[in-house]
Amino acid sequence: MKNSLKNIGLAALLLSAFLTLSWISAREKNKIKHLIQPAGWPAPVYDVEKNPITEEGFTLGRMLFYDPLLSADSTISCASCHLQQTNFTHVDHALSHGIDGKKGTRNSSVLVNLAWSKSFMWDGGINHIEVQPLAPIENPVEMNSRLSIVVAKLNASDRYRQKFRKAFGKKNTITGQQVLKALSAYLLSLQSFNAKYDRVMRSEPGYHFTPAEARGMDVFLKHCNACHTAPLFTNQGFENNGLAPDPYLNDGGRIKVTHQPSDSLLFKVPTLRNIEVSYPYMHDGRYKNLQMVLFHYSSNISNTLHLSPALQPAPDLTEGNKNDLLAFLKTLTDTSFLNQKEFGYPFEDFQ
Amino acid sequence: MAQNRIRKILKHVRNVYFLVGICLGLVVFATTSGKKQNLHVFIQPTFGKQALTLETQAYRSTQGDTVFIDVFRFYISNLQILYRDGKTFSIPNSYYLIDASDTASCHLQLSSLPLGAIAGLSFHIGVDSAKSVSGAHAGDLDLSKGMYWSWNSGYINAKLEGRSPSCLSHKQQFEFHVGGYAHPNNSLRKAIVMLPVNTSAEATSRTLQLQADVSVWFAKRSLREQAGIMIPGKAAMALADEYKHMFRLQNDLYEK
Ligand code: HEC
Ligand code: HEC
Repeated sequence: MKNSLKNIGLAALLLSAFLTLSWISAREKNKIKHLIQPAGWPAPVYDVEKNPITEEGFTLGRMLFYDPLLSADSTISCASCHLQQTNFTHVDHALSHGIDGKKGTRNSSVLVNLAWSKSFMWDGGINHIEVQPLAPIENPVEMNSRLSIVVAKLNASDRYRQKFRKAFGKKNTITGQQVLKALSAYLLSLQSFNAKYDRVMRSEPGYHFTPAEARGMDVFLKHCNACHTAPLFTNQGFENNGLAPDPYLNDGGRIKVTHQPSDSLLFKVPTLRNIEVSYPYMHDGRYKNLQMVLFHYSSNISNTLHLSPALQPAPDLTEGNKNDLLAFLKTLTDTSFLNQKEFGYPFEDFQ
Repeated sequence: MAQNRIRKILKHVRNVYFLVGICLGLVVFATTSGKKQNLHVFIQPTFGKQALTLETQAYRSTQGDTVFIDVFRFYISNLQILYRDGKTFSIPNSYYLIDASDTASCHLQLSSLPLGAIAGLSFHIGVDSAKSVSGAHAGDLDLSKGMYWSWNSGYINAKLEGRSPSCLSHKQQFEFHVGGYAHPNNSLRKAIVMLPVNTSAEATSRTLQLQADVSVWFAKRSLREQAGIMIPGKAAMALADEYKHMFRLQNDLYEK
């Protein structure tokens, strides 16, 4: 009797030691990836405490992002419309092409610092990053698939089943939730905060604005910062910046989501980080270059019904101001982000 | 000397394990000894009093439309058991997708409910705003279930699709997708189903059979005039106000 008690005690001891060790090693294995909150930035909107981002989740999300398996006929991946070198937008396409070359009605968004976004898409129709990938997957002119079909395809792949097990534990079947969490782990990690602008602001040795850039920053603070608020270069709000409505596209923007007449022709204020490389510009990609954008703000603002008061009167920009502004906007280009290997095509996953 | 000390420590460790064991035992005892009851809720999709047959069976609505039903799915959430003595018991994290094409989904097995005479059930039809704004969820709330709008975030609380010669739409189809979690277009609705007052029996195991009557969806609408709702708004809320009355108690079977 006494002996068997002793044995039970010993077994319990061993068991708990084993459990503790395996718990520690599991924690070790699924290393938490932290979002970086650069000095002077607000706290991210996405709560990593509640939804930790793991290294495995990130690499799995990256593989999914680059895998055309997500589209109906396996021809289109997320990266088809979101290319890293162009700040993750569709290079040189005003309106994005999806499956069968079908055209959408909007210019593809840049994907940068998304953990700070309160809503997604040009009209803010999507309320959480984790549910965003459902939209392109199920959009008939983008990937034209269904999340349930994607899940079935992934479950049929040994490689994916293994990767999902690594990222999410022992569960045998891949779920829609896991696909979305993995994709958003990758999306959330796309952080850019090492542009020349940031280095100058951090007073890093060797980084100074040229006189033109410094003058450009003054112009920016006066005319642009109300909406494109530093350091994220967006205030996350919805505004009308005086684009003449396109009768062919007939896109009402925010009103599609809220059905409020006062939201007609308002669009989400986009970030200007890496703006130099993410042409063409605006929700419909109507401007091919930044010169045209600056011409818009100085001389081409349409007096639409809900034109933002911040643009009334239109910014008074001389040619000199525009050149300076242009120089300043280029200091927002973060080449280390645009070339960061970690975010690029994962060759090893597709061999 | 050192050996002695180790032996002493080990003895302590053993005592600690002994105590932990007793505590665990007590917890297990406490949770299993208090008597509980099991409740099986069967939600049977019907058209009127008839069990619903999808796709092949023609039904006639009170407005005179002939209808075939292809898809009938809805969420039940925030399920509460109401007791005769006025107490309530909330089923934690209760979100169930009821799908007429999947019989298993129509059976909810609730075990270990507190004892007491059950007076009725209260639940929401749809998914609350907290779950609608907090990302990707698992189980019945998984977005792969096809009950979520991709372009304008939010769950579809209830879905009814089918065909009718009365429809002027493409292929004579009708589609009612009711959702909307945000003010002023919140279409989440509460339903309460009460047992008759004279059944006061306490039971250890009970089956409540409810009917979810599709015909209620058509009671006030003619398909010629309206063959679809696809966005949150006034029309969706009006329909939700009507279909929240579709539940009816059909049977109450119990064992003492
Ligand atoms: C056919 C081109 C196309 C494909 C493929 C595509 N997207 Fe997009 N993406 C767009 C367009 C266009 C928008 C802007 C849509 C809008 O505002 O309505 C967008 C917007 C986004 C946004 C919102 C960004 C913001 O700041 O609001 C995210 C996130 C995103 N896409 C991620 C993805 C992911 C993940 C995938 C793969 C599952 C993907 N996209 C596939 C074209 C595409
Ligand atoms: C009233 C708020 C507001 C002000 C002030 C403002 N913008 Fe904008 N900006 C917007 C909105 C909203 C959009 C998106 C418009 C659309 O596509 O419908 C935008 C788009 C842009 C774009 C295109 C971004 C992209 O990814 O396509 C650039 C570049 C830009 N603004 C630069 C500037 C500059 C430079 C200034 C100052 C001269 C400025 N903006 C002032 C609201 C504003």
